[in-house]
Amino acid sequence: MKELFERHRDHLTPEEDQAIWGRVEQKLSHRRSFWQSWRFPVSMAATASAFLLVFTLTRGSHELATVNVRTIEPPVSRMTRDHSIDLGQESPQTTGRMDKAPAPAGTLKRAPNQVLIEPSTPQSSQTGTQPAPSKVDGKQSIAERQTNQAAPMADSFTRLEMPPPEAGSSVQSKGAETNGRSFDQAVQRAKSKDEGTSLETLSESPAPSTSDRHFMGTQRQGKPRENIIERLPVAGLSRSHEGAIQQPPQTVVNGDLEKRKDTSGWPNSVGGTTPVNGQAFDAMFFQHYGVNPFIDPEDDKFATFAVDVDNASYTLTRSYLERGALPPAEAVRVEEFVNSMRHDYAPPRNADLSADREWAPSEHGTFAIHLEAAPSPFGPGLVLFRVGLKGKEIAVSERKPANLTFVVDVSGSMQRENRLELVKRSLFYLLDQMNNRDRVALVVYGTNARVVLSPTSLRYRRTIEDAIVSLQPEGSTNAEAGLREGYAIANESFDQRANNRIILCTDGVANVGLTDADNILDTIGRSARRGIALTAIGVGMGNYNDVLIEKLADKGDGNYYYVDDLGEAKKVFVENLTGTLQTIAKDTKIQVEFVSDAVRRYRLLGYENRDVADRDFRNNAVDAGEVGAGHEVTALFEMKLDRRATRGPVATVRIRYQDPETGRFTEEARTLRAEDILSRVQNADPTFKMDAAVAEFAEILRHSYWAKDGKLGDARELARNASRSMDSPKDAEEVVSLIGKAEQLWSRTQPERWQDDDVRPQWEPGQDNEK
Amino acid sequence: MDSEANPDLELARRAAAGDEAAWRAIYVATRERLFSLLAYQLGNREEAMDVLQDTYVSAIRGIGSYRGEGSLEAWMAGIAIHQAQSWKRRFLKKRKQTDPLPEALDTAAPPGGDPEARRRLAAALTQLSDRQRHAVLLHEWMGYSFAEIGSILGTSEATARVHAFRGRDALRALLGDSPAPDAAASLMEQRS
Repeated sequence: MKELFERHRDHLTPEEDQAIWGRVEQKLSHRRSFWQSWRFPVSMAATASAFLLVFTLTRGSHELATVNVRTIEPPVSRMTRDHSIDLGQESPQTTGRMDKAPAPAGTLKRAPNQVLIEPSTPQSSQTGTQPAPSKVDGKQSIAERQTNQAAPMADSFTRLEMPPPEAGSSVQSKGAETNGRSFDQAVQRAKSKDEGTSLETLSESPAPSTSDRHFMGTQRQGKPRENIIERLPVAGLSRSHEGAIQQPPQTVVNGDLEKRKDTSGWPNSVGGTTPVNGQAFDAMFFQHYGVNPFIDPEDDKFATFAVDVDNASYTLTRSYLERGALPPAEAVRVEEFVNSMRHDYAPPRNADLSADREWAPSEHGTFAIHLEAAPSPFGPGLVLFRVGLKGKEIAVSERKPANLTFVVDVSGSMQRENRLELVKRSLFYLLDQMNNRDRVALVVYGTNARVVLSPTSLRYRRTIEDAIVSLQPEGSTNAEAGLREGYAIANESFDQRANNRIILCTDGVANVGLTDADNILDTIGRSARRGIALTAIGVGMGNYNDVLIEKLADKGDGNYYYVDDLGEAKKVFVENLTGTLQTIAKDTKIQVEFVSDAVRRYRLLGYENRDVADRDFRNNAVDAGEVGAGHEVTALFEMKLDRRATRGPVATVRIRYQDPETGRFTEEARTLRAEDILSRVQNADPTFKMDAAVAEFAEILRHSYWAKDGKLGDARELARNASRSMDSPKDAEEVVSLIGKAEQLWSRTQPERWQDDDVRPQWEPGQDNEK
Repeated sequence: MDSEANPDLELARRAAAGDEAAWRAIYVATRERLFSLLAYQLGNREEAMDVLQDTYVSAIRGIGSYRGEGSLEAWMAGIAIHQAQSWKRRFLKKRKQTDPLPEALDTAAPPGGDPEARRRLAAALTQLSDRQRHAVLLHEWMGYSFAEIGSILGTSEATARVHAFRGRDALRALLGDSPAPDAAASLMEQRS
């Protein structure tokens, strides 16, 4: 029998072998980078210091100390992984949960997943804030949230002495949801200040919308009172406040927004829910930048463009599709689709620098260039060529202090769909990640602009929170005044050693003062050169100005995110905060030089509005893209290769960027050789297949000529295939389902495919133009 | 097996520490046999490749849990079997939801031997129950002891033995073979 099996067994071909080993290697280097990165030592340190603190806290009783060290340590170490501490679950003596949200004095907030506790924290002052325990659970919970807000870490520990709660009232804290808690606390503070009501009254009355569910989603009036009370201890800890926004809210319920009672759900705009690109989303502004053609390298062997790490177009499309509409073709930017996928490129390692780099390898290794090419699954006879850049990662502890100016649009349009609430909560996420070295200022604009908060250290977090919570929609939109005010503040408080950045939160609708970008671009450009960058956060669906926001961000050395729900906000402000805040390369350009003997035609997918003239590649005055720490940039090309090109160089990728610290320009380069091109796309990395699928998806959505025969179903199948071999297929599965949604809408509406006869290209991919 | 004397354990320790050379050694030592195991198991080369990749990725993640009981290859084979099973589940689910997959059984492979006999073997393997197929492949092809197979499949040694023998008999019947002399010999060997 063994012989039988031996005779008929399958063998790996050398190339298959190589493909698998390549994957293994990639996985390994990825893991290695984990061990070598800040996360490992820092999470060890977090565990150790938590140990220390627990020990100090309980040293009065040695018996207790031993018990607690054992029972508390596991949750603390878990916290370093999934952001949650739940003492209640582990120890019968504890009532509550540790709140990660506010950064109290004595607690150093470092990153999404570590909380470092300064062992020197004077314990007595923290316990001093502890109120006398109340007997009534609901009241107690609110009172505690009031008073413990300043010292939540201590809070949880000191509560060890308190009697255990009723079984039903102990609620598990899950991860970053504690954000909701601090947010609710701030709202509560604002309320009690405004209304002059006592806490007890609040907890008795059905009025306060303290629970997340209440806050965003449900109508609170007419709810039976006992429900409210039952939920009160849960306040801020309800299951998911991502869900809260992802679900179409039935009603806008919030103290600030109370005037507006709208029960239609969203899309909450003129025209109600009329579907698809018509009146439902009444005033969306997009601009179509055309589609790159195939180019013969003998005509132009260089493809030069500025990098783009934004992903707003993808998020926006998702938002459209989830509302049951296809996005307008001009809202779809292929490069942003591809960039919103996770690639897990290995970060640069200094050891790597010797290999493959022909051009002035930079000694500090700012980028790792990853090249991969395989037959294109969608273009007959074409090769899909992926250029992937991975910026170096910066440990959270090494992040420079942030000097942020929030410029928040509080115009009437921000009242729609809870946009302002989304912004507030997003900013709370951001606050959660900041520490005492950071500073924040707050400018708002409606009809006029005003400074709500001058630059304030995070030491006074509570003041900042109160300022954010106090924002209310008002009047018209004077974006120009807001930005001018914001930049004025930022320039005043400019700090050479910090990351100076404007965080603009808007739906982009401007109707007073500047209504298109050009007037203020000068100011922005000047400040950008000085080192004040801009991050634009776009919110809102219904009337939304993509063009304005993208232009602002480009000009302002910044990045642009479209935030459609809290999950996305978390991505931008929690998971990628260091990348969002700290730029590692400015004015980054990519130039790919195709070898004309090997390549017959090439086409760059996307990046149409990032085009840079070939001759300007080394022109330092030309503004280009910024890359944040750990960011990934991906560009895809389709190439038609010469049949004889089986060996030797095919294309050389150069990147040029300015180091933001030294101002020095650096180039790095790497060459793709014909023998590196995989023979089958199946052998490619799953993320490569995913990119191909997503690019095809975007190409079809934007009615590209090159995808005129493309089928969404094929893209979906490929995406599904790729997602199967991914480690964390969650994002990939989202793509699969989005393509599925688009497919349904597509078959229902049968949109016109490619129509402009005058741009019909000279050359078709099927055509063999051997010379 | 004495875990102290197990050279695989040392290798696994180095691998767990992220030593790439150790991983290369593991990979080179195991890829061929695991690949053919998976190809037999899944009846499809392409999928076998995908699952083999997943197997290594998953092994990288879990190498810390290898304690030196049994050979490292057997431990990897356990992962491979597990991955193949979850692949199969996904495949079946998918087939229920959408149209059947275009790929029929084994298309490309150009292995040695008589293609007709090979096709029959592949077809016969698909007729076995999952457990029997696992047991047969692990025992007859990979040559593991029943104790090892039991721990891979999460059954007792005796159950593994039963599955392997029944599977082998079923396979023989399907192939229309008379018991080959080598099989009889191996039978004797196992009983001893």
